[in-house]
Amino acid sequence: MNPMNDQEWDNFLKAKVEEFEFPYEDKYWDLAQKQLLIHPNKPANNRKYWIWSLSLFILLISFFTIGYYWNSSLISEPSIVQSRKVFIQNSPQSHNFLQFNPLKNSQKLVKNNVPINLKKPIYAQKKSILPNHINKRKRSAQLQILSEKVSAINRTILIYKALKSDAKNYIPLENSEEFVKKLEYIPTKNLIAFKEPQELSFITQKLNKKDYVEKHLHWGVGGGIFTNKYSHQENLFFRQFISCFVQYPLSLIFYVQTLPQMSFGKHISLNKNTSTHPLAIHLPLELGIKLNRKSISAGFTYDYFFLNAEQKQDFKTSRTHVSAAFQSQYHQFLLRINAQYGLSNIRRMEPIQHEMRFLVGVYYIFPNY
Amino acid sequence: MNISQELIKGCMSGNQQMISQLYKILFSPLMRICYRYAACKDDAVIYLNNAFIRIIDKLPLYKEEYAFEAWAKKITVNSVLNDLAKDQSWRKKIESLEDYENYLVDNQYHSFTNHELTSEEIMNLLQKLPEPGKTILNLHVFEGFSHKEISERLGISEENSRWHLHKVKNILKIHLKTIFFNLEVI
Repeated sequence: MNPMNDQEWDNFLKAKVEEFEFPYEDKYWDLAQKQLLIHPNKPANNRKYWIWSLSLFILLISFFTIGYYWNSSLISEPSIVQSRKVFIQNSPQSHNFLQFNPLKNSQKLVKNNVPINLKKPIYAQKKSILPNHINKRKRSAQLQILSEKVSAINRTILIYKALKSDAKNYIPLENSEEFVKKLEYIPTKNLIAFKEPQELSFITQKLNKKDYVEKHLHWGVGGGIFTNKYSHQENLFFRQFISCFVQYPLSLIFYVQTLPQMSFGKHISLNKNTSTHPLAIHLPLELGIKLNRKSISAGFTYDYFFLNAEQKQDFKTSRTHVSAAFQSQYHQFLLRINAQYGLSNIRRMEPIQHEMRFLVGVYYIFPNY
Repeated sequence: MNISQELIKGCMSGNQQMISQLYKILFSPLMRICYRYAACKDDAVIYLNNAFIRIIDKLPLYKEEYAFEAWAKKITVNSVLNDLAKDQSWRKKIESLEDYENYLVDNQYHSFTNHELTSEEIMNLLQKLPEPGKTILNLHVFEGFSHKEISERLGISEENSRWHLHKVKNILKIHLKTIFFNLEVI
């Protein structure tokens, strides 16, 4: 008598189980019916989740938009007038030459008698006080204007020196009105610094310095640890990820960034059990606020899992989560702590589950040139 | 199992009579699944009702090219596993090494001398098996999961899965040793 092998054993068990018929009773349906009546409407739950997420997103966008325009309007008229006053304080003190008076609307040159209307709005002044916002194309134009200003200032000094020695000797200006406008492009701190001809080089150096010009995009690469937890499981899972970093400043303090990531490796749980996990890419898109060298950001993350045909039957290939992050930069290195939350049914036939994720990453930010 | 498209459509539209009819048709096949995983009959009924609610929810996703019974059974298995996962005591058993030897000592089962073992007796025997071997046996033998799939689903290693299955099958064999020899005679 030979004992059954494994396959025969399995077939025996299956056959026996399939034979069995459970007797039906109406009380089972009564219980089921009660559950069905109180069962929450799943589509409504999903809809509720999307309404809340969309509302939060719109609120965030509104907050950042208002903040951006509020920040842009911080440069007010008084500072423009202030810069003019400073220039006037430092300009040649010759009654025969330039007589700038911000309180009065006219000014007469010794020879040309060209009136200058100081009341004319100078909207461009606002932009020049924040040189970091100017893009490359505008930067070139601004540099051109500034170099012309420097030339004009040089001429002013020559005139000033000439007039100091002899009031009758002067070199006429090309166009005094334009000259005044160009002078107002100079930031306040540079005007204060300008006192002597040799200090003009301070202005030109400042303009040509590479750190004075900022590229728009900030790039970096990095990696870190990725943890996640599903609501129905006690285990916390760990994986690794690599990522690149792209940040675009919208203003002095607001920025938008994306950090495409790829997570890989086995799922390692806290009790050191491992299981495979498909390769996945994650695309976060966030709006952020800079607070000195630290920043906070919020947005969405889209995930895509590389599944084979068999896995696609059971598992969904994509998910979306809301995301919030804290970043701190030290020299060229950036530490990022990111929390993500989402509702999804991982398997197609499962109910919705909560998923929480924490990512800790270190990035190297390439220096700007 | 006779489930027509009209019945499915009627259930999707919320017709209570048709839903009741579907429940009666699915009761026995799905109870065979739930009873194997549950600790007792009452738990099995709870698992069955939870699974049935999910089947009703997902009826719009059902495609006609698939056999309805197989589709419903798949949902039921996933639903039962989710319900088990929410059970803290079950999670602890999954994560600890079950002492199968002590189980044999504590649960002396009288070997059958009658070789005509009924299906009900087999079902009761399966239900009384210790965890996590019981769940692994059900997933591997009845649902056709590989050890790799079981390890991913339960959060254990493949080696653990094989070990538990081996142990729980030994328990079954010890209990049914008389039957094996008698079956060969038949």
